[in-house]
Amino acid sequence: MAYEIFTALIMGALGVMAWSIMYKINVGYRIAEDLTVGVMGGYVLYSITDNTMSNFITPLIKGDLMNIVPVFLGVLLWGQLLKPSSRWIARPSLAFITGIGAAIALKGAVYGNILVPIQAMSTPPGTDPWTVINHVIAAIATITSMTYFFFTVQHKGALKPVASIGRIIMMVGFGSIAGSSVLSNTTFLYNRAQWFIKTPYAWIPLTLAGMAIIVDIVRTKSSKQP
Amino acid sequence: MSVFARTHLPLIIFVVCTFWVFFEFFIPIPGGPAITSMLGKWVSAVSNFALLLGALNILRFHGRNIVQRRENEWLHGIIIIASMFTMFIAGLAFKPYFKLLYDNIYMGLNTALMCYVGFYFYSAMYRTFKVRSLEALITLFACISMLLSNAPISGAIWGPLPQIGIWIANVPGMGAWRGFIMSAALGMFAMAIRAALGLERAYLGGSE
Amino acid sequence: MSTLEKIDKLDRRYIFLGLLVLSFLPVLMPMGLPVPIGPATTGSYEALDALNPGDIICMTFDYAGGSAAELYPQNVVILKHALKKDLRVVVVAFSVGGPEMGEMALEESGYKTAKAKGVDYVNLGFISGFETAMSSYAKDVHAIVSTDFFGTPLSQIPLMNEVRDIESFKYLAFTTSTSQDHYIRQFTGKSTKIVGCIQSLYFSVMQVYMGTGQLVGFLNGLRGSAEYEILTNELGVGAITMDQASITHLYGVGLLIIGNIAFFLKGRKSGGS
Repeated sequence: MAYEIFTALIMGALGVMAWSIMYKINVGYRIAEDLTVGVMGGYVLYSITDNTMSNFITPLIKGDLMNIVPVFLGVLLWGQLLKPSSRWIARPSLAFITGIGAAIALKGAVYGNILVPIQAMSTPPGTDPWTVINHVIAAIATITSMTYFFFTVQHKGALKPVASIGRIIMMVGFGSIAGSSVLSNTTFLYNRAQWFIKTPYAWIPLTLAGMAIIVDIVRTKSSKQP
Repeated sequence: MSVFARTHLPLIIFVVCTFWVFFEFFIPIPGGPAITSMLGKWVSAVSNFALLLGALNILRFHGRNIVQRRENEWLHGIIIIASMFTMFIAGLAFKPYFKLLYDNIYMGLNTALMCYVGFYFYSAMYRTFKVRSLEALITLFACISMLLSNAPISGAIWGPLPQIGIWIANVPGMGAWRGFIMSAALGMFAMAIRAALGLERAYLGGSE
Repeated sequence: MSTLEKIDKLDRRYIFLGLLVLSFLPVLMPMGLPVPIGPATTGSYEALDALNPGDIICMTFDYAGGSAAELYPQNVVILKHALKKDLRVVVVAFSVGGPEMGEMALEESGYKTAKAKGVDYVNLGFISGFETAMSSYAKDVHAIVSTDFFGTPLSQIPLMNEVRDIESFKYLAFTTSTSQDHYIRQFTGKSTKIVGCIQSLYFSVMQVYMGTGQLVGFLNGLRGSAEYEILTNELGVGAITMDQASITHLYGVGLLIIGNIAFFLKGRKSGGS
């Protein structure tokens, strides 16, 4: 019980320190930020070390010599930590992972990002009038927005109105993304609001912070008065 | 040897790897899938070292701040490195504390920090999102429609209200994003061809 | 300063305070507004509901930290549905923080108490390499993964004897806080039904993949998890959050409109004078 109260008070205080930047820049926010960065870095350090040791280093030590090449390439990658004139030793590793990654992305993109959308654009999903109308509008939206990106040809003549419509369609797309991103961006706040209310004693640091802000505002206003 | 090792060897590795993986998918080569699987596993290993590089970079950067006693930074460096090693050691030997730190700091405090994205977004909606042209008005209309469609209360205010935003996202918005996705895929092809021809070397970490 | 100028130059801390109060209010006074179910969530639900007991599904956990606020409830509600349907689950992660999220979701959904580890569920842990790892995983799981999250060799896990490649899974739900393109490129085009658990930011993007048939459905952030909770009758975090979302979204719409009215009137006033 005491442990839960202690954790709730500490985490409540840290949460309030994280939010304090909304009122004024202060050292409390930096401390909360530093703790988060440190713990996340430590988590990555532990998790990846454990993963590397168990999947590659330990099998190598036990005799699986096929792991020599990837471990060697991985160690070469740490050449990025050296002085700039020596960083070239990391290039073979970078070229290796970039080359394989690019090819894998490309072969998936041929089917997944190009052929399938073109196929979907050519056939409406249903026969009722509204479905067909929506399908035609979406196809026009796709073609006009792609036209806007063809910088190799100047947007004049017949291309100009097409590119202009494409620009407007893109604005609609951006507005739609902006509106839907609001829910994403505020979900963190909803989560913390629920935590502060549902966790016993977590309201104490929040209330104390609110009182401190009120005292600060009153003090600032009274010092400004002649 | 020096020029070969610094420039030509990475390019050869890139081209060989790209061509092998790409064409092995389309042309049946005896033993090809096994070699590609092995290369995939090697990439996984090298990626581990890349992630470790990120963690080591944090140590190097903040360690330097501490050693050089950089004003306003060295104390923060101590907090970061101390918490990093605390988490690392907890993971190795003190699992209950590892879980405590993961749940409360990694998840909880990180969520609290990310709240300010929402706060500043709302502030930007009020102070920055000003309609100065027809395009901005269209963007604003799409944004408001989407906001209303994501709020269940809008259906209670007027039944068809959420449908406007859903239509905008499903039809013109979807069309626009389909165009973006296809354009991005075509751009990826162009970049890969340029990299294979040696015209793009940014992935090598800069030229000398 | 005139009233118009005061409104136009409103201190942003008042906006923050308004948002903070309106986020806390619905938790103290729930409204219980109805949440209409969208076709994307219905598609995800029906795809899982059509499976038979004993079928194997896969869930990827590619998020951690703050993103868990939006994505974790989606995973829990899908796993609860899978448990009701008596399905077997393989959990995997292509980003660092994922395996712990998988463990938490398996615990909260009831898999750890009701089912046998290694027989009904397994956590394969983190596979680094992101899209390359996904490609290898889709082609041959055993070639890229040798042990589970706890170090047990796959040969000693009975569930993994029935898993070869992605087509061993009847259903795959990917959860990501970043781009979905990688999953679409590497996982689609096979017999496995693919569902996305995404941040609501990517709603329009996911409609592209729904339209092409590459996805059978997706969960649109907390809205999606609220809808799924209603379909499965397992009300949780999503449902409470919708009340908060309703109020704060109306606040956002109000800010946009008031800000632009003040800007417009200020422009007319300065243009007139």
